[in-house]
Amino acid sequence: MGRAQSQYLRIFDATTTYARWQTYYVNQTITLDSASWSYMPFNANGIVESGASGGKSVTITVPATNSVVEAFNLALSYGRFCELKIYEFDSRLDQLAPQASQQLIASYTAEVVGISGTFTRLEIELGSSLSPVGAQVPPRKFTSYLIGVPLRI
Amino acid sequence: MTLNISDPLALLAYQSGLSDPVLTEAAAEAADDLTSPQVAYKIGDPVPIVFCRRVSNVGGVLVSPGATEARYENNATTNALTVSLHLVLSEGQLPTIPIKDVFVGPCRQGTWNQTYNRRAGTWFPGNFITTVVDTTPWSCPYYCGTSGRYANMTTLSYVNTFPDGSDRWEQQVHVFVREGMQVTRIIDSTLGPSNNVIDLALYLMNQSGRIPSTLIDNTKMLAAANFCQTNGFLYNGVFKESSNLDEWLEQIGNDFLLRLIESNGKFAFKPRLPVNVNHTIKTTTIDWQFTFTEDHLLPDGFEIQYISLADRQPICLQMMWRQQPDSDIGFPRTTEVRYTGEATAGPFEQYDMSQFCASETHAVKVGAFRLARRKYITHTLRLNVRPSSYNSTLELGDIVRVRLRRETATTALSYHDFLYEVERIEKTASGACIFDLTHFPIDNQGRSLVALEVAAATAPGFTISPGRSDYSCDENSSSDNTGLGGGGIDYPASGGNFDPPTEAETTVNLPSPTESTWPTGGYPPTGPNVSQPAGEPTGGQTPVGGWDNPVDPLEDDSPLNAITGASGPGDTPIVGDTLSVSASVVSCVGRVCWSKINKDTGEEFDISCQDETIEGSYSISVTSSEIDYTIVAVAFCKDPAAPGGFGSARVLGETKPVPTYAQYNWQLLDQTGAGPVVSSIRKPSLTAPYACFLSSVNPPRTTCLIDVQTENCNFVTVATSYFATAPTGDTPTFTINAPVKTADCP
Repeated sequence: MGRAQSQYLRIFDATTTYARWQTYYVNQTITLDSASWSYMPFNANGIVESGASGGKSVTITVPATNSVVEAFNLALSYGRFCELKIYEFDSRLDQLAPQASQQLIASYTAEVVGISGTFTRLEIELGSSLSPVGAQVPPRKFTSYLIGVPLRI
Repeated sequence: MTLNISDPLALLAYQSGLSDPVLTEAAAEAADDLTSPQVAYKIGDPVPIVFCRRVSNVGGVLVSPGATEARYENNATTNALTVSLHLVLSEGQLPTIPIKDVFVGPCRQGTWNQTYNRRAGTWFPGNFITTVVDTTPWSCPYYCGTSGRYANMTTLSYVNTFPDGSDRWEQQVHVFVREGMQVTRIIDSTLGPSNNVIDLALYLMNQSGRIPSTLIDNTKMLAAANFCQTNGFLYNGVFKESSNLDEWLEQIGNDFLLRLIESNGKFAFKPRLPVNVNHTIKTTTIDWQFTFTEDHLLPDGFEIQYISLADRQPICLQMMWRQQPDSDIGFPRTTEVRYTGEATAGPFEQYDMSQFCASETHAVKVGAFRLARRKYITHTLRLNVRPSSYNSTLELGDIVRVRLRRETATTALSYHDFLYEVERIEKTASGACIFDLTHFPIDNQGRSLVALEVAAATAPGFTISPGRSDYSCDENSSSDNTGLGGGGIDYPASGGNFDPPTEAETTVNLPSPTESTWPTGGYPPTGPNVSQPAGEPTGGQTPVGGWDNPVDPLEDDSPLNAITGASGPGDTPIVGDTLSVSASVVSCVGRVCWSKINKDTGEEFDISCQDETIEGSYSISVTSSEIDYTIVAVAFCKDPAAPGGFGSARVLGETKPVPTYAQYNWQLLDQTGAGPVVSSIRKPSLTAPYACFLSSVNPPRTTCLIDVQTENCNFVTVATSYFATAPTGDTPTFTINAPVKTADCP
């Protein structure tokens, strides 16, 4: 088997899909699941799933083109979601379009929680804002509006 | 920068909750003193969440609410002290509490009101103590609080009078809450109190704003909620300690035999034990999702780690929980869980569930779970396998079988054949999958040993007396189910006689950005707009990138070429030319260095450097040694701080290569001097490969045949015709101008 791997990345929110990118079919826009996916040479570093606190994130490396920078900046600003899917297939059978028999080997949906990198390359961290550090709950605190100046014993 | 560090397999037992001994052992969290001084909430304290639901005489929680306002006044004759307290019971709305469930210290006393989303009671806070003769003055707080809006809180007002000299006036008040904050229960989709930890987890996830609902797997959450309800794992507690949500979810999951998982990016809880369709613990033969064999394993893809002796030796677990009588104040208890005959004198490990656990069965089953895992689980495994269908089907908590053949002799085959629980999955970019697995022990019928132990574990069920015999201090009946009064104050916008801050007085709302394309991220990154600077001529060339683009040599339209003096066509220098660079181009006190670069090899040689100008220019003469070289001028400004006394180089220009021989452009002009008509003739001399003749047409014209050089440097013979402008009959003559040098041609 000529094992090949294609990665698909979608940026979306509850109502709209903002970007669909794929990594395998160079300079082509292909159709998968009745949607068009344009070419963008990104790379995902793998997916870790664990019950342990922290460490549940995926990093994607993307070229820092204008459209990519804007797409991820907006995703970070608005808390949009990213869906990463990784397929594996036999590259000897068809190189022009996704194969019906390709196998989904990983899928991950998360928010864009961090962006860093260089002038030419960005690393996008996908995960949740459920940080393993810092106090987060109970969510409400006693404020001056809620209790005024409280009793001092 | 991303550091990708694989956790050592030895940590898996701790990460998975298999081994997590408490770091410090202390009194049970529920062991609050009843007669301690009343506490007051402070600005910034977390608003407590009372989360409970008493079902079948199990559940509920004793809350010791803090006060936010108080009023103290005494009788001018008897010196009896009337204490009024305003208390915040919980975030959210609680059902009405019966009078039998409110206490001052250990006693049912006082007049109470309960309300929601507003201030309870109508009394005005303050210290109105007066001195009464022959009595000891009351020493009550002077800062009695103002008031607040109490939005989305359940509040209480408590008023009670104490006789002169009583020392009970400042005792903490307590409320036994049978039905806590109302949430929409996931199991029946009904708004009401809940004792299901999944409801609390969902509430915290949503309210904290940390996990969007899209990333919560509600199907698995519902299954987990049913697992808890079916098996009696119930939450009855006060959530008031500031915590990290991720850590809390993980820890609370262990105490409810749940595992916090993240599947495809979605959060969910999953039972740590195999379950039947009806959510009971499965005590029959276990099915597994996949079998790993040698076929799947990658080289060096098998790593095993046995559980250490310290984590396997027999121990006795002291499970702490809370006994909650129906008509009395609850108290913490312990139930020791051990294997028969083991650890009778210790070692002991303490697990405090008293903060939320009001069921001995719950505590015992958790203890049995921990002990059984300690007893039966022997090792953990890390498998590195090739990608396959299981990449997308297996998830945390799934059961898999690993069957690997071990050949130590041709006649002695054995198998590493165990069931495992998936604890961690790493799907690498290469496609390989790394599974961290925990041994899943089964008996000879294929049943989970841990599940059998937990299912069989039952609580002794012995009810211990609260140890109280005197209830004479109770002024309210222990059987009075009358609900607390609902008196309270709906503040007008001004606050009325009270002085609750308004939202405008305590909140600053910054104006929202108005940029339509990037409201929360600022304007698109094009930098500030800069208009044409004053003094710049209008109508001229706009700089590359616009006026707001900083000067950047890399963005020049074309490379700087400040070398002048090349006399050949197209500014080609030829031997004998004097090349110059104006001092104004250098624009600093410094030097200009000339060098030459071989047009074929790129090899560069220095020619000379000049520190001073001559007639305002730095110049160099082109000699035959520069043939086939380009000539480069580089400027250096003086810089005393630089090692050589000059700063960095700035290239001023580079010429075309000096040609090997001159080429000439012959201009053929008729006798009137009209023209020019230009043809390039690749001849260094005036020998003429041309011929001219006078045509016989009328008017007569002169035609010359000449070799001309085309763009691709081929020579063709063309005819060029000129109308004679001379008088008829005269023979036009042609003059040949001085040769004009042209560019080199390969």
